[in-house]
Amino acid sequence: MKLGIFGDSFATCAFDNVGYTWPRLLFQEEDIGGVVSKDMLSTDCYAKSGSSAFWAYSHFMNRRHLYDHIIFLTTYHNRWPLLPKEIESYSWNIHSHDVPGFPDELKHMNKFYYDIFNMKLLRLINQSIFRQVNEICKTENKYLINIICFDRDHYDFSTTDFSIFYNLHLVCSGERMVVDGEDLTMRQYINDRQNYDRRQCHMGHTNNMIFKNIMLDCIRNKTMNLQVDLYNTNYQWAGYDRSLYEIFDIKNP
Amino acid sequence: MRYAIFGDSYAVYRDHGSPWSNTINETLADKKLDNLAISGTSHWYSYTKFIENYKNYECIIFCHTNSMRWPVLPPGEHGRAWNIGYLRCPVMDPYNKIRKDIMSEELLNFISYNIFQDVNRLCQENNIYLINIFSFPLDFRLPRTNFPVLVNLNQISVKEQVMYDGKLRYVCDLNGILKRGDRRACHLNPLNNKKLASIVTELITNKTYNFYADLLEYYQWDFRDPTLDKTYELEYEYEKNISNGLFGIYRQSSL
Repeated sequence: MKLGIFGDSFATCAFDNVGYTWPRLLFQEEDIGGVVSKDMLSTDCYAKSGSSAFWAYSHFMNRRHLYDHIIFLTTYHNRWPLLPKEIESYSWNIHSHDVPGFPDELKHMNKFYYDIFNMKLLRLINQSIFRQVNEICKTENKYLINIICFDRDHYDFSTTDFSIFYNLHLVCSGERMVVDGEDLTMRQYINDRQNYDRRQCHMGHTNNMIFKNIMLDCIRNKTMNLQVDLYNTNYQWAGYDRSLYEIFDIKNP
Repeated sequence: MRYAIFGDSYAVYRDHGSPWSNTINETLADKKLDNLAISGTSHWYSYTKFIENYKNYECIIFCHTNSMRWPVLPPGEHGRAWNIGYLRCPVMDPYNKIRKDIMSEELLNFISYNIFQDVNRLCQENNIYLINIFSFPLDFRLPRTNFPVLVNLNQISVKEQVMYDGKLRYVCDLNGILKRGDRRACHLNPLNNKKLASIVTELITNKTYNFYADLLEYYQWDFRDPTLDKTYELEYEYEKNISNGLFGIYRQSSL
């Protein structure tokens, strides 16, 4: 079996970083690969933080011949579909941000974003990516798992028999920590308090492990025709996870 | 039967020059043809008009324009989508400056491929007869469709010639020099407009399926039309009067 993963930060698999990532845990399974090398993670896990669905699609188109099993993550549609290579990890950022390190050229380009893109076009791009990836995998006899990182609102799931998991972002934003005596969801801790999300694949260790098991189970059983709302199902996601305190370097939780 | 045309200048309504769409409206469609094509617009623009309206029709002619045009522009600027850097213009210059960073042939062809697929799927599902016409050479592999596909319409346009100032000239070259727009309806001379109207009429009348034709190679066209000579004769007179200062202005003639 040869597995290729394509997507954005929900699958980014940095080798040197602290913590588990579900792609790394998956590649460690004997029937998936059994060995995890630095090289393997950069070539078989084609996911880049902050990139667009079109970025993942382009790499899928160029590299799919290497794999018979694919996990394709479709990220949020409201991103720059395409940016120069050196700033493509900023595709998520369609608003100007006056923060250190934010590229000047993107600040300039962001002024025009809503002139030259609209939601209908961006949705068509994402819908079409979803449809084409599924059609290609079916035609080329590859086993595919679809992950819709955000909500399923504009996707037509009836066009495929491959399994689809959606609302992964709700699992991620629903993780909790108690900070300074205050019980916070990750959405509150990261968005409201403007902290950088240092979690691997936006999840703590436990949820990365659980998500890996869901993927592994699906691959082993070649499960088809599942349409799973990841957040509102019976999966026992970890709400509180001690690893989060380590990740965010919070002492005395 | 109610008919509609979607597309760009290759399909647009004009009250002179015998455009092919008018001929179809007069003859085949019994004046029940709505022409929703707008000059200079993008493939995406035609598609949005199609999505808003397709359920009102039983027969649709969709002119798919060049994939490389700006898909979306601010409200009211949709007719400038053709300008991807060909012409300096205060409205388009800021977009064209960043174009190479945010658009690629791969992305634009991907959008067009999926527009084509969606238009054909929706017509199939809704029992609407569809004719696909590609104004420009195809930059992407066409998805499979049972509906007719006619390609390379602009190749007829670029081969048309006209007598101007005693010399035979390509109309497109001449338009580029005169800078007053194309005097032809749908970028075709009257004879070729008539020819295209008859091709489309025949396809609709026979409800032809599974038909693909390179328009230039498959049919005979008239690349000279004396009627068009007369139109450009007037242009010549106008240009001469400008050179002579009769309109109070002078132009350094580039002819």
